[in-house]
Amino acid sequence: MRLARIAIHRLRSLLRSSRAETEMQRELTLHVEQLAREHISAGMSESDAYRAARLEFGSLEAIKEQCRDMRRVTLVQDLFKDLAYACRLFTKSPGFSLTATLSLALGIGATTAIFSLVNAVLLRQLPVHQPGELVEVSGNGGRALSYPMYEAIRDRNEVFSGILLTSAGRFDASLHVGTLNAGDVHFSPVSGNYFAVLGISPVLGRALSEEDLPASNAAVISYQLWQRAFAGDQAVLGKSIRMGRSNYTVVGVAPAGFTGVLTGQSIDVWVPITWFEQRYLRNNVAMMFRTIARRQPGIPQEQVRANMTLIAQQLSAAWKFERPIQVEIADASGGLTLLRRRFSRPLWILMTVVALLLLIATVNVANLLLARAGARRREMAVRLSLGASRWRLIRQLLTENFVLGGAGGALGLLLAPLGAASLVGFLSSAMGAMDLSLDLDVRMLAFTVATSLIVVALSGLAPAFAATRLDLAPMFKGSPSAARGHSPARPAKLLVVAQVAISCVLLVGAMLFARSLRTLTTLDAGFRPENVLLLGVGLDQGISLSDVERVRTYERVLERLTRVPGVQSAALSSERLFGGGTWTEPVNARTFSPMPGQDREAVLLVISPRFFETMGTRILRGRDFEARDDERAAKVAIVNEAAARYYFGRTDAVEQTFQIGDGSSAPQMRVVGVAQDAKYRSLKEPMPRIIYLPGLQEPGPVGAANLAIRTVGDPEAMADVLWREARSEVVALRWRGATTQARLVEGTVAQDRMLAQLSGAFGLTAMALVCLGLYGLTAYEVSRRTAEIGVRLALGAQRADVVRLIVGRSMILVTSGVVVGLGGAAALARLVQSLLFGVRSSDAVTFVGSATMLLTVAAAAAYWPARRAARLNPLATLRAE
Amino acid sequence: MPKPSDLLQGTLDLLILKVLAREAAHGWAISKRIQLLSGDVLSVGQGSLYPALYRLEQQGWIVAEWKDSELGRSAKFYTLTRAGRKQLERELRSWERLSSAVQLLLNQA
Repeated sequence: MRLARIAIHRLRSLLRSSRAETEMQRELTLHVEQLAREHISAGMSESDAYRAARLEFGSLEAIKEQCRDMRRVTLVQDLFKDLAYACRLFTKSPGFSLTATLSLALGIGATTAIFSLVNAVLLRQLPVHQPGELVEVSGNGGRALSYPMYEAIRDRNEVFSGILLTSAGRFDASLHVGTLNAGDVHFSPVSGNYFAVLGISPVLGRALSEEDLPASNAAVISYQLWQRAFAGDQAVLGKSIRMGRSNYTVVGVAPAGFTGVLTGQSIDVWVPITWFEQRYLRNNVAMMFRTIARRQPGIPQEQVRANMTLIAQQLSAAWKFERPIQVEIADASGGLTLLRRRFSRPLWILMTVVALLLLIATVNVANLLLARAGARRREMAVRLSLGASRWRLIRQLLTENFVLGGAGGALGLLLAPLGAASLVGFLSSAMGAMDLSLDLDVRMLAFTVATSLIVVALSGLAPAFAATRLDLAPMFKGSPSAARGHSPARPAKLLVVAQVAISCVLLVGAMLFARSLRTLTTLDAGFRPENVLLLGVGLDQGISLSDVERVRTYERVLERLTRVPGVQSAALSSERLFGGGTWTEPVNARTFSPMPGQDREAVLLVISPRFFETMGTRILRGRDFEARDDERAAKVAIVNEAAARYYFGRTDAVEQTFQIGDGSSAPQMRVVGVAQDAKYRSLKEPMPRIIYLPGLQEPGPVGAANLAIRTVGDPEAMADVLWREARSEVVALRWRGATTQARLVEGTVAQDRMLAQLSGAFGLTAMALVCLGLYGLTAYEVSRRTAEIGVRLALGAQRADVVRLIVGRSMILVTSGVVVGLGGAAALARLVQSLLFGVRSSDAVTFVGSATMLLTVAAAAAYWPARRAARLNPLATLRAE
Repeated sequence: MPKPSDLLQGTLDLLILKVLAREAAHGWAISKRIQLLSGDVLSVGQGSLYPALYRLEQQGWIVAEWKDSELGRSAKFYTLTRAGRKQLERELRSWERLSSAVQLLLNQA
């Protein structure tokens, strides 16, 4: 009741000040007039009476001002006072303010940066109808599916209201509108029900539909492209566009904000799935498509899984697969899970790491404030004895903290985009060009504000209570040591121990990732990826060539390219090394009798002659493929060491024979060479068994070819020249993108690099913060014990003893911190074991190294103040007491 | 005639609350009453009454409303609230403590 009345009253005084002013005027003049009237009745003249009344009353304006002061909402007013005071205070000790603000900015900035990525990759939902109903159906381990599998699921399932299909990635092409080049676009072939399943209606025109299959040339463009290339012109509908060499007619524009279902890879143009050649769509094992299904409402995940497993079993049986197809169901409310699958673990780890870093920064600020609390005991004592309430002082100290936290948070928000951008750079090198929307959204802002508030509360409350919990009496007895405070409060010591422990955990983590990365990058992959340009090419669909003729056409291109100055050698392969595509088949050899359940599969790779020379893989025995290994010759193959050992045991593999696939009808292949072992998918896999087949004898997989060209100089600089050269040899050649082998290899370690570099950076930052905190605490301790040190020196203590005493005290804290930290690290490291390569999570070098590093650096941080203490002049300090 | 002594810091609130405890009054009446009841010993520095009134209102111990007054025109009347009554009791108690302490001191000195 009282509170409500106060609230109304205060609100009124805030809002309706003009009325309050007139009322105040009336009230005060009434009093003055009344006073004057009294004087008049006592016999004064009117003018004298008024003058006397005014004199007696005092300055009307001054009193009004006092009244106004009283009316002002005191809390708000106090806040402004505190703010002003805090700012004055901080400008007076810039060193402290700068250290505190920067540590907070660093902590909050790093946390916000990582969170913006977590938000974009893991949390943000697709802007579609009921995204929670969407699930991705994929193969084992998130593998793509083939078109026939999609058709089967679409037609036989009992749990989905719809299921769409999209290319597993996006394709790049330059867009032509009429004769105008409108720049490069990303496009994705999708099923006709794509937009219907997602529940998206176009802002203009119509969406793709089932009628657009087969072989329609309808295309839907994104809102962004509509604005960019057509300036939002309504007349875009019906316009003819050309992407690469395919022509399409624009039939619709997707709504703003919808950029497809591939997180991080926005799509500009959607075209019918028939962009793919029929032979890919009819191939049961061409695992190159991704599907998103909409669950029927009320159907639980288990039922979906059961239904999918059933269909997969039926398909495996019908298609006579040796190993039954496994399917996985994953939530797809945020789009396709590829990115999330790969990066959710590293991202959460980084999130934990930055959270720990922020904790250290917070603790640092808390420690600085505690030290200041000691220094400010006098001020607090004076204010308390003058009648300030403790709550009022705590409020003021917290306000000071808010200023710090606010400045730190604001600075952090400015830093965050820089950090996030470099993070996206890391992701891009792993996943190909990325366009993640890292814009500040409500969730991010809320996160930063909440983080800052928590930091303010955590770092400020304890020091504020400590600073105001005072025993007033000794303060005024004039003892300077009492005014300076007792021992550095125990909380401060505990905080240092905690800081050291946390930074020890971070250092161990960073070192583990760094050692893992080092193992990876110094690993012999079995080929030399540097200076190899990879050029993806295809042939125009209009051209009818037999498979062999197609391979011969590509080989003609290769010959032409080899003659270009700066090219050392060129070859082609059906798949790129580290490119993600794999073709495996079971192998039968006379010398090989598998145990039941033992794997018979090998990776098959179709190549041209000089592939090994181009990739830098040695042929250990036998020979390379040659021109004579053509379609008329007996079938030959080259195997790598792993395959030779596996299928042929200790006998020399050269001249041995084997069959590919099941059934004895398959032709016998003769091994003509053994190649050095080489990695195929990633550096982390065990050496795969690879069987190489000559392109002219096995031309099927070489629909589109991957040209590998070893150059003398920078391979990317030659891409344009080589493409022009290739086109002038074969005009019907189609561009399917260029990259370098080094890039593909780098892509598979990008995640490791990201973890190593970021956790390294954060680990070092944490250590720096800890040293800062330790330095501050030691310096404070030295200043507090000046007298004692003076006495010791006067009594004959050696300077080295003083240093030892002070450093020793700090090192007790550090050592206990390190011990706790190592324990914590040992427990936590197990969680990241799956992300490490060639390093055990209990790696002794890492643990000893981290501990040594931390102890050394901490000792140095404690040494400087200690040395200053040892240089004290004993007489001077004693006199000062 | 000696000048009425200045009001002790902090006792003004107590006096105002005490006056208002009897009946609602406007500023002029409050200042007259304090003078009267104290036998002209205490006089409120005319102007300083008002900031005090505003402060008490701000604390929610008194409320104000404009009413016709005996002065022939409307004036701002202050009334004690329930919270104000409690505050008055508190201040009375602490005043008694203080004055008895001072008394004790004076007697022993």
